[in-house]
Amino acid sequence: MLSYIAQRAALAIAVAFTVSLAAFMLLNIATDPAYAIAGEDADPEVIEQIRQRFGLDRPLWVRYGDWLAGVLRGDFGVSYYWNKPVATLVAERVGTTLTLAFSALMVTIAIAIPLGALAALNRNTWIDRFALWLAVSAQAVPNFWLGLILIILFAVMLPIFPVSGDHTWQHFVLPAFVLGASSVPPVMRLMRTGLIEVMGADYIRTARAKGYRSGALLMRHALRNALLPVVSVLAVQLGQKVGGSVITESVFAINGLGRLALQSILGADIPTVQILIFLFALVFVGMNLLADILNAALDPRIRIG
Amino acid sequence: MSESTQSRPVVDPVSGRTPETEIPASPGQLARARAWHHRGFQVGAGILLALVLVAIFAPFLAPHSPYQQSLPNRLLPPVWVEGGSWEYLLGTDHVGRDYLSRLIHGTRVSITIGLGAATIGLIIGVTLGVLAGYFGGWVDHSVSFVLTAQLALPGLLLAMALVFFIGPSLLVVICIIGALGWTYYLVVTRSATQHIRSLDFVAAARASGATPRQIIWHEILPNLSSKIIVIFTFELGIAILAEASLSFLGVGIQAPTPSWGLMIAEGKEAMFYRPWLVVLPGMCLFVLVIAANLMGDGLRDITSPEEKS
Amino acid sequence: MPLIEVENLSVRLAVPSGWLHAVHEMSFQLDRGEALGIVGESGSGKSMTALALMRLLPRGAQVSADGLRMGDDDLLTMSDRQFAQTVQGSRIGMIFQEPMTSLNPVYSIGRQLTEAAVRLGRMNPTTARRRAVELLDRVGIPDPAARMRQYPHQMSGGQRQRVMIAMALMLDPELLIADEPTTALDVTVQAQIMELLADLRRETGMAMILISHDLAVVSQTTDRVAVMYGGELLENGSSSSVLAHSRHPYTGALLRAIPTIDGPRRRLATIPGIVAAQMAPPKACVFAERCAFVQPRCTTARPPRQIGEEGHWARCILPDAAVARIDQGSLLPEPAENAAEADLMIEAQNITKIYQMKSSLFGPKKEIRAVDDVSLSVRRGETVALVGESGSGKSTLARVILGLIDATQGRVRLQGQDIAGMRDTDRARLVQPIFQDPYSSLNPRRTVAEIIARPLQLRGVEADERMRRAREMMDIVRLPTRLLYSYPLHLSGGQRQRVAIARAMVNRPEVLICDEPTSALDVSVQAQILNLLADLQADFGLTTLIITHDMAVVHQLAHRVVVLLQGRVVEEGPASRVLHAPSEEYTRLLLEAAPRFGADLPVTASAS
Repeated sequence: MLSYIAQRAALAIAVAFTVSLAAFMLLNIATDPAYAIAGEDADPEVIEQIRQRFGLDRPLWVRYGDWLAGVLRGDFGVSYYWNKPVATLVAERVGTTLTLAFSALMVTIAIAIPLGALAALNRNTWIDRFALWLAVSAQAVPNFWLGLILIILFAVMLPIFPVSGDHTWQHFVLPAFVLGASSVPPVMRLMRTGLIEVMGADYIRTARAKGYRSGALLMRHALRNALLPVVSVLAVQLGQKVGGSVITESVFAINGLGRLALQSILGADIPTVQILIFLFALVFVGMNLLADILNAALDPRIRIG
Repeated sequence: MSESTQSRPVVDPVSGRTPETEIPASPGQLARARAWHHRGFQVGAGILLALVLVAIFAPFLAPHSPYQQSLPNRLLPPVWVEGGSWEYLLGTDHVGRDYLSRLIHGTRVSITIGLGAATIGLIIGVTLGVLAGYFGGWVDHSVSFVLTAQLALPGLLLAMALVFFIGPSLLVVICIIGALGWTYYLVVTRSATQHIRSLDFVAAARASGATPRQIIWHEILPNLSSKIIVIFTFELGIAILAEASLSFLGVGIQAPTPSWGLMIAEGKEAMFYRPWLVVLPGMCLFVLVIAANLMGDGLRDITSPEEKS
Repeated sequence: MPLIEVENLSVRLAVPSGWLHAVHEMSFQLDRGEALGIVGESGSGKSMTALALMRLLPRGAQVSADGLRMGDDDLLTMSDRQFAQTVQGSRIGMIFQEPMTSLNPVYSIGRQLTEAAVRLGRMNPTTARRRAVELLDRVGIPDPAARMRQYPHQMSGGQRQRVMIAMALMLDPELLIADEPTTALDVTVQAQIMELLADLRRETGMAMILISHDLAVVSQTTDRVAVMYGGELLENGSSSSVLAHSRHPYTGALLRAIPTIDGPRRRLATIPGIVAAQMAPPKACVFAERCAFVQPRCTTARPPRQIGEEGHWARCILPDAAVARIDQGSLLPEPAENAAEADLMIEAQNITKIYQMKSSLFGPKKEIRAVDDVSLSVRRGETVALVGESGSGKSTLARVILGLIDATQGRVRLQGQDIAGMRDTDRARLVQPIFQDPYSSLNPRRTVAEIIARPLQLRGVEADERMRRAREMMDIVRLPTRLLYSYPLHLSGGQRQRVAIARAMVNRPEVLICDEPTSALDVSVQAQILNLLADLQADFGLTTLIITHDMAVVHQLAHRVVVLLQGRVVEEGPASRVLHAPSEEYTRLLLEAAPRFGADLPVTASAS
């Protein structure tokens, strides 16, 4: 088990650095940071000065080495746009985004797991058809549009929740629902097909031959097996939620990392964008690692190789 | 379905088929026969076809130019709201452009980007997936690593940054969304190829002296085609939504091009009093994407009835 | 009073094209302590009968019966809840075909053994545990107390089936239903499990229903045999009586279709056609279409039961003696020892194949020696059988000879040429494979004509010529040419295997390597394929390497035998010697597992 986790952790670290390298290269090739700092119409001399001052005249890989060394020391660099250390910008906002992502995950779990299980147990009935219809529809709704519609419905026409901002828990209700809804279709489908598959497995027939029925059969023999793949996907979804916060936070004007990312892109603030991409990837990789560990804990086939 | 209804005797002197030779339905023909009975597929494919036609004939269908501004006619409501007119069926936007005409032309943007990006993703994903699945070993290990790294990248954020920094244009948006949207193709074709590779008909082909290239083209790809088409329809929807998101956030298609995502962003300023500005383009997106998804779900049922869930 | 009384049990299943009548008006009785074998090919309805008794039928199945009693209890009117609490697991225990998947992978053996007894309130956890350890010990699991904490994936298939047996016995059931309990296991393990079941029945006095496709296994283990076909119970009688004096033509034909290891080698009797699905309740004899004795009456009304001595009955209109007239099949020529001077076609020298397994990134490498220093030679015209169980390395060796995998050490020569330096197409000209599973050996997206002609296409043969040769091959393997443009999905297992043989033969190879060519097929189809292979050998002077676990197949086809155990050759010699006087204990075990009916089949002079 320890060697399994060590192996997954090593892979996670390798992935995180590959991602940071890819993001660094792509961003620095896509645009010239010197222009970004100086502005579109700056004259060549100014740009040359900026290049020298920020060390942008050095080769790309040297700059990456520098950047990486900084990140490893905890020095995330300074934002061109906000004129603040990136670390400060991130620290101010990380709590908001994590709150949003976790509440969204709760929304996903609360809707997707029971609905998927109900659909599986009532296969080919109206419950099942409703659940599948809901999944197909939810997949087709543009996330940002859902946010706007909910604002119109529940903040303007029926003023139950605030329109935007992030001061109280009420501010998080609509955004969490919007962000959580996007993960409902995949998680629900997985729960449904997983449980259908498990209920048809030979070991369930064995349990029935021992006199297990309905509720006891589900709780004591089927659920754990069906939840195994769902756990991995939930962790991955949480990782994606942090990335997906860009849209939700922009729609609801929540001052989190997602909105910071959009503002930094529009402000051509490459140091901030780089760090955010790296951090989001790190969260994703960390969540994946967590999923591997949870799976090992729940599944003896992984735990005892 | 009985055998007899699927068979038809054919005489063909050229190919030497004799009258008693049965030509039973091929797997493809059986799938087409099932398509006639699959409601979801019919609805999805029908809407999609209609919208493709709208996109192609947009200049003939649109009553006005999508770019023609008319300041006196700003923010007119649709015809069924008080103050609306038959001249502007769905009203006008904040600079007085005909909303219906902009929505019709928006179909072009969405469908072009959907088809283009889904095709780019297909080429990257299927190539990598088949190679990794067929050759295994270090090829598979490297492809898997690239896949894990790609999954870890915050795709939307990276797409936003790249599109905006490179300079937003239709082509850039297509390439970036396509180049970031191949993971689903890869995951599915890789495991399907691994499975097919382990089957005895591939071993038989190798024992007959077939090269890997011949095996991939003759034995493996024909068995992947239906899966690839299914993913293509889903990726179509995903790419369309991705473009809409980028354009909504201001880092995708730029004004004045009529993109539904951009129209929602423009309408957002006035949405408390004129909700149709936001509702209408969103509905268009929803209908287009749900049509693609219904068609994908239908195709999955039709091409592999054994996997129907 | 009988323990189980079943009267006119019918089961139908909802399938896309309507109702499949899986079991039709089946009646039988079972006394306390008695063992009944239900025998049939796939699709005969034998498993559905067992699942119906146990209320384990899949959703969408409908059951009806005129009577279903266990002792004094009427099982027909019993509620599901009461059935679960008092019958399932308590009075009837059941074990299944797939021990690898029949235990829940995420819970320990101990929990799975004890949970039902504790939940039903029959035992407290301590006594349940004690009883489970006792039973594990009894079914032959070493160190049972420690095994309680293990998980299913840590055990072999045979051990898991033993655990399943122990689990079924936890509550001392009066009846044990065993549904193909050994089909998924290796032959030597099969014998052990069957012996264990017989011993346990003697010790506990429980009754047993054994469901199997294997008439030989059933007749050796049970008191009575019931033969099913197409959902219909065709014959029922004491085991010895059914074997010696089968009263139904189907049973008779089946007995003569099974290759045995005793007696002279004969062409196997084949049953023409395939098992048809019953989409309507039968109104005629279900076997009429394939029966050699069919009469007009057979197709107009369901034949009545003719009851003979000791309750041995058959659902057939024929007089008893008629069945005995079934052809024994012509004698095959005795395999002559091949002349030692014939060309060496296959020479495999000191083949070793090692697979490297890494348990984890940092873990030590594990080596698996799939084939360990094996040498093998086959001369022109010879048929050599490579015999072994799973894990013996027999398939790996075959794939090395075919050039599909590279050996770690050693070399292979075909007709004197080293395959390492040979072009793929040249090698293909010399040696061709036939695989076990006809469902995976044909590309589902290609027509029969394309599949057979593909090796020609790879050699650049013109389209017209390809077509001509494909038709010719269809003839040789006795496939109707109307199937030329069919896709594999339209073909039965036997037809698919013929297509695979046609594809292998189309380039007229010198050597055929058959990897378990019949073990995925039903008995009657197996006979057709074995006869076809014997004919091809004779007609084309083929050199054949046949890989099998079934000593009866060896007897039927082979001149020489090589026995493999864990990657090494343990015995080698002429078939006649190895089959009758094996020198190794392991070979003896394999032989004991092969079907043997004694010499008491009624013998009539063969006509052909």
